[in-house]
Amino acid sequence: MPENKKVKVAFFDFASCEGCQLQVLNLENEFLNLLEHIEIVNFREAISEKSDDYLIAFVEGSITKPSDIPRIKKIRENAKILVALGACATHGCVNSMKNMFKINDVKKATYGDDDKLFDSEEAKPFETFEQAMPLDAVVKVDYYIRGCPINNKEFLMVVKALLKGKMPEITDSAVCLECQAKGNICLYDKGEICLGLISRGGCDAWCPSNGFVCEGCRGFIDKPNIERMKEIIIEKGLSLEYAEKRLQLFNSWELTKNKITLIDDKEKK
Amino acid sequence: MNKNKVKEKNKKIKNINLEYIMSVNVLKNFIEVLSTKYKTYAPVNKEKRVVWAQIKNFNEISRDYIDGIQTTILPPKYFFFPPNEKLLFLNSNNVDYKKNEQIHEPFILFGVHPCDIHGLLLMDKIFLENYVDDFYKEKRDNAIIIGMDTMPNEWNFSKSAGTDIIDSGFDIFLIPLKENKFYIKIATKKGLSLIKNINGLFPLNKNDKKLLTEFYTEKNKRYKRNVDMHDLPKLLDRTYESKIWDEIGKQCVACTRCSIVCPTCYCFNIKEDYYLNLIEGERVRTWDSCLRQNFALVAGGHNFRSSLKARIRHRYYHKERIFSYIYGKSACVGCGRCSRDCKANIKPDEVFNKLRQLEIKS
Repeated sequence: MPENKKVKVAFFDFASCEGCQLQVLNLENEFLNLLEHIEIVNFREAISEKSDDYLIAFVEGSITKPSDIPRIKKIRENAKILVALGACATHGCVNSMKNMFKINDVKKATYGDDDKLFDSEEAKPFETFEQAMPLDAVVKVDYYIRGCPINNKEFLMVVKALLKGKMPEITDSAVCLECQAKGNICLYDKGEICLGLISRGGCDAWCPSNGFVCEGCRGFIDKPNIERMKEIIIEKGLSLEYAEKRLQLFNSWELTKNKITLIDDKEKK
Repeated sequence: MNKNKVKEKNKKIKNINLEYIMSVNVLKNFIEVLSTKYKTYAPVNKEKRVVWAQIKNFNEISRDYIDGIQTTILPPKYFFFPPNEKLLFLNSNNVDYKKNEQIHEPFILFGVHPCDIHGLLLMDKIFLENYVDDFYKEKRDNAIIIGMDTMPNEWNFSKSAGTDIIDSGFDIFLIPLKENKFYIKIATKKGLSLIKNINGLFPLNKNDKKLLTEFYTEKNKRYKRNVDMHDLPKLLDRTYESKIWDEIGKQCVACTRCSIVCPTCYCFNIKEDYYLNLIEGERVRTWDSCLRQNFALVAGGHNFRSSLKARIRHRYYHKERIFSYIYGKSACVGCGRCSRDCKANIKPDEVFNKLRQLEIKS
């Protein structure tokens, strides 16, 4: 990388709350220091300029509608490195909860009788897919910054590593590793259902350390043993229904894609 | 005198073996005196569990721990090999580094179980024998170990592991006896200096010796978990393809908890993080676990142990077989922490028993 030439960086968003980009801006002074090394050419939440000339693209949000496809493909073409920013982009997050239902039911639940308006010509641009998808369902993603929202220190770590030409080290261990290393009392010992067992860490076990169960906002670890997780919940006399709801909050994309359920249709009343 | 003779002489001085009896009140006084001089860490209650924490007096120590109902969440390795440790400061301009000099002062670990002391001695083999790890050594040199025997808890199988008795690796050793008495053994010069101004230490009389025997009889009776650990490395040699490993592979969820609470798991990861000037940075060591999906991932993308079965089997083989072949003993001290904390109900003593039974059957 030539000296005195700043790396051009762009930020984009699809279906999301844009909170992860806000997390980047929340870095404040550190963010300003970062500007000594990077030049931001696209960042709707922070600047009005726009450009297609960038090396790294940070993309927040899920792919939910047909018009998203050419847009994300264009970003992929322009960027040398594409980083998925936050849970919506990495694994669908709450957007993917709709994947469990029929799209018409979702429209009905959201808009009531006005759902009929979706059939009109004027509503064409707002047509949505039946499934909300993470970015890597459509394009190749180079790195994943996980979490809902992201930890902005982790964002910094990734940017610094990329600027140094190193591979960012993003953890693949379960939340339990960091949680247990802190000496926390396991929330299962208190009769709660914590998804930390099969959920990806890297968050420093923020929720369980503060007494709140892990909801898996960073997605599952690779090849999660959900079959066994289900047995554990049964063995401990905890509620499968509740566990399933917890799982669905952030991970419906993976659940529906792999047809994973805790409760079989037979078991459902 | 040549160096060896000096060494031998020092060794002789170090090998003190003084035994006394004291009342619980004397012990209370002893701890109060100690904790004003040194940072003293002991097992204390936290909600319904036991954790290491700094104490000022005896009453803070967990009753559950002394009674042998449960042990601490984390093993004492935590004090010498912390989960997150800054090692070096780097400078990528002149490719230079500076050691992170930590401030050390003597501290006391009070109430370490015999099996945990065995665990520390095994960690010493890793961190002090072939390659001396300064960061570990500095903390280890500053530690004063006050061991304590207690009744075994429901997960402990240290008798089977041969770690229920300890004769080195501590400065002072205590055994709680009936009649509100404590047996105290002083094993080092350091230990001797600690009890210098303590009044109320008496030589063991006939009754005390009887109480001591009673303690051991009771302790041996209380072990609920027994496993034949005899010739375990060879048993493992023969059972690598056993279907038990398939079963355990399906049982494990890869939460990594067992390796975190293990007193002898020492795998770590090294990470480098640069500061915002992108020139200076630091190198950090963090606890790692062989159960993590990509633990054995190498450059080029090959993962030597991508299946859960391969990973958990490797954990057992490293503990029992590889460690035994290198260091002459098993790395499992039978503390039972992994059995206690495994949500998937995998218990090493049961695994070993199953392997042996299955072999006998076939």
